[in-house]
Amino acid sequence: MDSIRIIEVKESVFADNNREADRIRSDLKAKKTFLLNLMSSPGSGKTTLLTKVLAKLKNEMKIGVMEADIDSDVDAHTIANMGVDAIQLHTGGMCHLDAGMTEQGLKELGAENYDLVVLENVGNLVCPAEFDTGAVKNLMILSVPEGHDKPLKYPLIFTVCDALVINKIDVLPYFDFDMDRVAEYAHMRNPKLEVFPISAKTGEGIEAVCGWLRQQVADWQA
Amino acid sequence: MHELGVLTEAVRTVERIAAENKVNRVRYISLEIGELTGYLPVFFEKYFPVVVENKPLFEGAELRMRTVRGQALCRDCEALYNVLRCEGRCPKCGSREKTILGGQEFLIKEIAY
Repeated sequence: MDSIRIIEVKESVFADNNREADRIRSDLKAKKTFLLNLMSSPGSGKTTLLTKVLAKLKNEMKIGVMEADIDSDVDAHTIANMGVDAIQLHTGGMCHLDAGMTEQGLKELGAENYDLVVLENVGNLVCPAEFDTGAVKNLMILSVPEGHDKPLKYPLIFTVCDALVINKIDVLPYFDFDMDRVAEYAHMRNPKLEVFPISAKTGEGIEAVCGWLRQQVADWQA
Repeated sequence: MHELGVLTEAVRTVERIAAENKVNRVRYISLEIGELTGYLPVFFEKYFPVVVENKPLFEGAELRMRTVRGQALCRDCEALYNVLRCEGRCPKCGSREKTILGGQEFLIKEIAY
Protein backbone atom coordinates (compact mmCIF):
# COMPACT_ATOMS: atom_id res chain seq x y z
CA MET A 1 0.00 0.00 0.00
CA ASP A 2 1.32 3.43 -0.91
CA SER A 3 2.02 5.90 1.82
CA ILE A 4 -0.43 8.51 2.99
CA ARG A 5 0.50 12.08 2.27
CA ILE A 6 -1.00 14.96 4.17
CA ILE A 7 -1.68 18.55 3.22
CA GLU A 8 -1.76 20.77 6.29
CA VAL A 9 -4.52 23.25 5.61
CA LYS A 10 -5.45 24.83 8.96
CA GLU A 11 -7.80 27.25 7.30
CA SER A 12 -11.31 28.32 8.16
CA VAL A 13 -13.96 26.64 6.05
CA PHE A 14 -15.29 30.12 5.33
CA ALA A 15 -11.96 31.53 4.10
CA ASP A 16 -12.70 31.01 0.38
CA ASN A 17 -16.13 32.56 0.70
CA ASN A 18 -14.77 35.50 2.70
CA ARG A 19 -12.14 36.22 0.06
CA GLU A 20 -14.81 36.15 -2.63
CA ALA A 21 -16.99 38.49 -0.57
CA ASP A 22 -14.13 40.98 -0.15
CA ARG A 23 -13.57 40.94 -3.89
CA ILE A 24 -17.27 41.63 -4.52
CA ARG A 25 -17.15 44.58 -2.10
CA SER A 26 -14.18 46.22 -3.76
CA ASP A 27 -15.85 45.72 -7.14
CA LEU A 28 -19.04 47.36 -5.82
CA LYS A 29 -17.00 50.24 -4.41
CA ALA A 30 -15.57 50.91 -7.88
CA LYS A 31 -19.09 50.82 -9.34
CA LYS A 32 -20.44 53.04 -6.54
CA THR A 33 -23.13 50.47 -5.84
CA PHE A 34 -24.21 49.88 -2.26
CA LEU A 35 -25.30 46.32 -1.50
CA LEU A 36 -27.55 45.71 1.50
CA ASN A 37 -28.05 42.17 2.77
CA LEU A 38 -31.44 41.83 4.42
CA MET A 39 -31.85 38.87 6.76
CA SER A 40 -34.49 37.54 9.14
CA SER A 41 -36.54 34.45 9.92
CA PRO A 42 -39.43 33.57 7.58
CA GLY A 43 -42.50 35.73 8.03
CA SER A 44 -40.89 38.57 9.99
CA GLY A 45 -41.68 41.08 7.27
CA LYS A 46 -38.65 41.41 4.96
CA THR A 47 -40.70 41.93 1.81
CA THR A 48 -43.24 44.21 3.53
CA LEU A 49 -40.48 46.39 5.00
CA LEU A 50 -38.83 46.48 1.61
CA THR A 51 -41.99 47.66 -0.17
CA LYS A 52 -42.38 50.49 2.38
CA VAL A 53 -38.75 51.56 2.09
CA LEU A 54 -38.76 51.34 -1.70
CA ALA A 55 -41.90 53.48 -1.93
CA LYS A 56 -39.97 56.27 -0.16
CA LEU A 57 -36.60 55.86 -1.83
CA LYS A 58 -37.34 54.79 -5.39
CA ASN A 59 -37.55 58.36 -6.71
CA GLU A 60 -34.37 59.44 -4.92
CA MET A 61 -31.95 56.79 -6.18
CA LYS A 62 -31.69 53.89 -8.61
CA ILE A 63 -32.62 50.69 -6.81
CA GLY A 64 -32.47 47.02 -7.76
CA VAL A 65 -33.65 44.07 -5.69
CA MET A 66 -32.52 40.45 -5.61
CA GLU A 67 -34.99 38.10 -3.96
CA ALA A 68 -33.47 34.83 -2.75
CA ASP A 69 -35.69 31.90 -1.97
CA ILE A 70 -35.48 28.16 -2.06
CA ASP A 71 -38.43 28.18 -4.46
CA SER A 72 -41.13 30.41 -6.07
CA ASP A 73 -40.92 33.97 -7.37
CA VAL A 74 -43.79 35.66 -5.50
CA ASP A 75 -41.45 38.13 -3.79
CA ALA A 76 -39.82 39.29 -7.03
CA HIS A 77 -43.30 39.89 -8.50
CA THR A 78 -44.32 41.94 -5.45
CA ILE A 79 -41.29 44.20 -5.90
CA ALA A 80 -41.56 44.40 -9.70
CA ASN A 81 -45.20 45.46 -9.34
CA MET A 82 -43.96 48.58 -7.55
CA GLY A 83 -41.98 49.57 -10.61
CA VAL A 84 -38.63 48.58 -9.08
CA ASP A 85 -36.26 46.25 -10.96
CA ALA A 86 -36.19 42.84 -9.31
CA ILE A 87 -34.79 39.42 -10.04
CA GLN A 88 -35.43 36.13 -8.29
CA LEU A 89 -32.52 33.93 -7.20
CA HIS A 90 -33.11 30.30 -6.39
CA THR A 91 -30.71 28.70 -3.98
CA GLY A 92 -31.28 25.14 -5.18
CA GLY A 93 -32.42 23.87 -1.80
CA MET A 94 -29.76 25.71 0.21
CA CYS A 95 -30.94 27.74 3.16
CA HIS A 96 -28.59 30.67 2.54
CA LEU A 97 -26.81 32.63 -0.18
CA ASP A 98 -23.04 32.63 -0.42
CA ALA A 99 -20.74 35.12 -2.10
CA GLY A 100 -20.62 33.17 -5.37
CA MET A 101 -24.41 33.06 -5.73
CA THR A 102 -24.64 36.75 -4.85
CA GLU A 103 -22.09 37.63 -7.51
CA GLN A 104 -24.08 35.75 -10.17
CA GLY A 105 -27.17 37.71 -9.09
CA LEU A 106 -25.31 41.03 -9.27
CA LYS A 107 -24.22 40.20 -12.82
CA GLU A 108 -27.70 39.20 -13.91
CA LEU A 109 -29.19 42.36 -12.41
CA GLY A 110 -26.44 44.62 -13.78
CA ALA A 111 -25.31 46.06 -10.43
CA GLU A 112 -23.39 48.94 -12.03
CA ASN A 113 -26.72 50.55 -13.02
CA TYR A 114 -27.87 51.02 -9.42
CA ASP A 115 -27.03 53.15 -6.38
CA LEU A 116 -28.60 50.61 -4.06
CA VAL A 117 -29.06 46.88 -4.49
CA VAL A 118 -31.00 45.05 -1.82
CA LEU A 119 -30.43 41.33 -1.40
CA GLU A 120 -33.32 39.71 0.40
CA ASN A 121 -31.69 36.62 1.84
CA VAL A 122 -33.44 33.31 2.54
CA GLY A 123 -35.60 33.51 5.67
CA ASN A 124 -33.38 31.89 8.30
CA LEU A 125 -31.52 33.17 11.37
CA VAL A 126 -28.72 30.62 11.25
CA CYS A 127 -27.03 29.83 7.92
CA PRO A 128 -27.15 33.27 6.25
CA ALA A 129 -25.16 34.67 9.18
CA GLU A 130 -22.26 32.29 8.41
CA PHE A 131 -21.80 33.35 4.81
CA ASP A 132 -20.54 36.82 3.93
CA THR A 133 -22.40 37.75 0.73
CA GLY A 134 -20.16 40.67 -0.18
CA ALA A 135 -22.75 43.15 1.08
CA VAL A 136 -21.55 46.52 2.38
CA LYS A 137 -23.94 46.36 5.34
CA ASN A 138 -26.19 43.73 6.89
CA LEU A 139 -29.62 44.57 8.20
CA MET A 140 -31.78 42.11 10.09
CA ILE A 141 -35.39 42.10 11.16
CA LEU A 142 -36.73 40.58 14.34
CA SER A 143 -40.50 40.72 14.69
CA VAL A 144 -42.38 41.03 17.97
CA PRO A 145 -44.10 37.59 17.82
CA GLU A 146 -40.68 35.88 17.61
CA GLY A 147 -39.79 36.96 21.15
CA HIS A 148 -37.11 39.13 22.75
CA ASP A 149 -34.85 36.18 23.59
CA LYS A 150 -33.65 35.64 20.01
CA PRO A 151 -30.28 37.45 20.46
CA LEU A 152 -29.48 34.83 23.10
CA LYS A 153 -30.54 31.91 20.93
CA TYR A 154 -29.10 33.04 17.59
CA PRO A 155 -26.11 35.14 18.65
CA LEU A 156 -24.13 35.06 15.41
CA ILE A 157 -26.65 36.89 13.23
CA PHE A 158 -26.84 39.72 15.80
CA THR A 159 -23.04 39.89 15.76
CA VAL A 160 -22.68 40.23 11.98
CA CYS A 161 -25.47 42.80 11.48
CA ASP A 162 -25.08 46.59 11.46
CA ALA A 163 -28.74 47.40 12.03
CA LEU A 164 -31.62 45.63 13.76
CA VAL A 165 -35.18 46.46 12.79
CA ILE A 166 -37.79 45.39 15.34
CA ASN A 167 -40.92 44.92 13.24
CA LYS A 168 -44.62 44.58 14.14
CA ILE A 169 -44.50 46.94 17.13
CA ASP A 170 -48.21 47.56 16.49
CA VAL A 171 -48.93 44.16 18.11
CA LEU A 172 -46.77 44.79 21.21
CA PRO A 173 -49.82 44.88 23.55
CA TYR A 174 -50.59 41.24 22.70
CA PHE A 175 -47.14 39.77 23.31
CA ASP A 176 -44.74 39.53 26.24
CA PHE A 177 -42.06 41.21 24.17
CA ASP A 178 -39.69 43.39 26.18
CA MET A 179 -38.16 46.18 24.07
CA ASP A 180 -35.48 47.08 26.62
CA ARG A 181 -34.48 43.45 27.05
CA VAL A 182 -34.11 42.80 23.33
CA ALA A 183 -31.86 45.84 22.94
CA GLU A 184 -29.84 44.79 25.99
CA TYR A 185 -29.39 41.22 24.71
CA ALA A 186 -28.55 42.39 21.19
CA HIS A 187 -26.00 44.93 22.44
CA MET A 188 -24.38 42.25 24.59
CA ARG A 189 -23.55 40.51 21.29
CA ASN A 190 -22.85 43.64 19.29
CA PRO A 191 -22.48 47.03 21.03
CA LYS A 192 -22.49 48.90 17.68
CA LEU A 193 -25.82 47.50 16.48
CA GLU A 194 -28.33 50.27 15.63
CA VAL A 195 -31.91 49.45 16.64
CA PHE A 196 -35.02 50.67 14.80
CA PRO A 197 -38.46 49.82 16.24
CA ILE A 198 -41.00 49.93 13.39
CA SER A 199 -44.31 48.70 12.11
CA ALA A 200 -44.08 47.99 8.40
CA LYS A 201 -47.87 47.76 8.42
CA THR A 202 -48.69 51.16 9.92
CA GLY A 203 -45.54 52.85 8.61
CA GLU A 204 -44.31 53.85 12.08
CA GLY A 205 -40.51 54.14 12.20
CA ILE A 206 -40.00 53.55 8.46
CA GLU A 207 -38.57 57.04 7.96
CA ALA A 208 -35.77 56.32 10.46
CA VAL A 209 -34.79 53.18 8.52
CA CYS A 210 -34.83 55.17 5.26
CA GLY A 211 -32.65 57.85 6.88
CA TRP A 212 -30.10 55.23 7.95
CA LEU A 213 -30.07 53.72 4.47
CA ARG A 214 -29.70 57.11 2.71
CA GLN A 215 -26.69 57.85 4.92
CA GLN A 216 -25.09 54.45 4.25
CA VAL A 217 -25.47 54.83 0.48
CA ALA A 218 -24.11 58.39 0.57
CA ASP A 219 -21.09 57.33 2.68
CA TRP A 220 -20.32 54.45 0.31
CA GLN A 221 -20.53 56.63 -2.79
CA ALA A 222 -18.53 59.51 -1.29
CA MET B 1 -29.97 21.47 7.80
CA HIS B 2 -27.55 24.02 9.20
CA GLU B 3 -24.65 21.57 8.98
CA LEU B 4 -25.43 20.78 5.35
CA GLY B 5 -24.61 24.29 4.09
CA VAL B 6 -21.32 24.62 5.93
CA LEU B 7 -20.24 21.07 5.08
CA THR B 8 -20.88 21.79 1.39
CA GLU B 9 -18.63 24.82 1.74
CA ALA B 10 -15.93 22.69 3.40
CA VAL B 11 -16.08 20.11 0.60
CA ARG B 12 -15.82 22.90 -1.98
CA THR B 13 -12.69 24.23 -0.28
CA VAL B 14 -11.17 20.73 -0.22
CA GLU B 15 -11.91 20.37 -3.95
CA ARG B 16 -10.10 23.66 -4.63
CA ILE B 17 -7.06 22.66 -2.56
CA ALA B 18 -6.99 19.16 -4.07
CA ALA B 19 -7.01 20.60 -7.59
CA GLU B 20 -4.18 22.99 -6.72
CA ASN B 21 -2.12 20.09 -5.38
CA LYS B 22 -3.07 17.74 -8.22
CA VAL B 23 -4.68 15.29 -5.81
CA ASN B 24 -7.22 13.01 -7.46
CA ARG B 25 -8.30 10.84 -4.54
CA VAL B 26 -8.76 12.04 -0.97
CA ARG B 27 -8.33 9.48 1.82
CA TYR B 28 -9.62 11.60 4.64
CA ILE B 29 -10.38 15.16 5.62
CA SER B 30 -9.98 16.27 9.19
CA LEU B 31 -12.07 19.10 10.56
CA GLU B 32 -11.72 21.03 13.79
CA ILE B 33 -15.10 22.04 15.13
CA GLY B 34 -15.43 24.51 17.98
CA GLU B 35 -18.29 23.60 20.29
CA LEU B 36 -19.47 27.24 20.32
CA THR B 37 -20.30 27.05 16.61
CA GLY B 38 -23.28 24.92 17.52
CA TYR B 39 -22.48 22.40 14.78
CA LEU B 40 -23.16 18.82 15.73
CA PRO B 41 -20.62 16.28 14.42
CA VAL B 42 -23.35 13.64 14.18
CA PHE B 43 -25.01 15.63 11.38
CA PHE B 44 -21.73 16.09 9.51
CA GLU B 45 -21.35 12.31 9.58
CA LYS B 46 -24.86 11.90 8.28
CA TYR B 47 -24.56 14.47 5.49
CA PHE B 48 -21.00 13.76 4.32
CA PRO B 49 -21.90 10.80 2.05
CA VAL B 50 -24.67 12.91 0.51
CA VAL B 51 -22.47 15.95 -0.10
CA VAL B 52 -19.69 13.93 -1.77
CA GLU B 53 -22.01 11.69 -3.78
CA ASN B 54 -20.90 11.37 -7.41
CA LYS B 55 -17.60 13.10 -6.68
CA PRO B 56 -14.80 10.63 -7.60
CA LEU B 57 -12.29 12.73 -5.61
CA PHE B 58 -13.99 11.59 -2.41
CA GLU B 59 -14.62 7.93 -3.24
CA GLY B 60 -13.96 5.98 -0.06
CA ALA B 61 -12.94 9.15 1.78
CA GLU B 62 -13.39 9.41 5.49
CA LEU B 63 -14.43 12.44 7.54
CA ARG B 64 -12.49 12.92 10.76
CA MET B 65 -13.56 15.44 13.33
CA ARG B 66 -12.14 16.89 16.48
CA THR B 67 -14.19 19.05 18.83
CA VAL B 68 -12.54 22.12 20.35
CA ARG B 69 -13.80 23.13 23.79
CA GLY B 70 -15.34 26.55 24.26
CA GLN B 71 -13.14 27.94 26.99
CA ALA B 72 -13.21 31.53 28.22
CA LEU B 73 -11.33 33.72 30.63
CA CYS B 74 -13.47 35.96 32.85
CA ARG B 75 -12.44 39.61 32.41
CA ASP B 76 -13.53 40.49 35.92
CA CYS B 77 -12.10 37.71 38.10
CA GLU B 78 -9.85 35.85 35.63
CA ALA B 79 -11.51 32.50 36.23
CA LEU B 80 -11.19 29.98 33.40
CA TYR B 81 -14.46 28.29 32.52
CA ASN B 82 -16.40 26.39 29.86
CA VAL B 83 -18.77 28.75 28.06
CA LEU B 84 -21.38 26.12 27.17
CA ARG B 85 -21.53 24.41 30.52
CA CYS B 86 -21.77 27.75 32.35
CA GLU B 87 -24.17 29.30 29.81
CA GLY B 88 -21.81 32.17 29.05
CA ARG B 89 -21.59 33.43 32.63
CA CYS B 90 -18.61 33.16 34.97
CA PRO B 91 -19.39 30.50 37.59
CA LYS B 92 -17.26 32.34 40.16
CA CYS B 93 -18.42 35.96 39.95
CA GLY B 94 -21.41 35.88 37.57
CA SER B 95 -19.90 38.29 35.02
CA ARG B 96 -20.64 37.88 31.30
CA GLU B 97 -17.52 39.85 30.32
CA LYS B 98 -15.08 37.34 28.91
CA THR B 99 -12.33 36.65 26.47
CA ILE B 100 -13.15 33.55 24.46
CA LEU B 101 -10.03 31.42 24.11
CA GLY B 102 -11.35 28.78 21.74
CA GLY B 103 -14.38 26.96 20.47
CA GLN B 104 -15.52 29.32 17.71
CA GLU B 105 -13.37 27.77 14.99
CA PHE B 106 -14.49 25.66 12.07
CA LEU B 107 -11.29 24.63 10.33
CA ILE B 108 -10.12 22.24 7.71
CA LYS B 109 -7.09 20.91 9.51
CA GLU B 110 -5.65 18.52 6.97
CA ILE B 111 -6.36 16.62 3.83
CA ALA B 112 -4.80 13.17 3.44
CA TYR B 113 -4.33 11.51 0.06
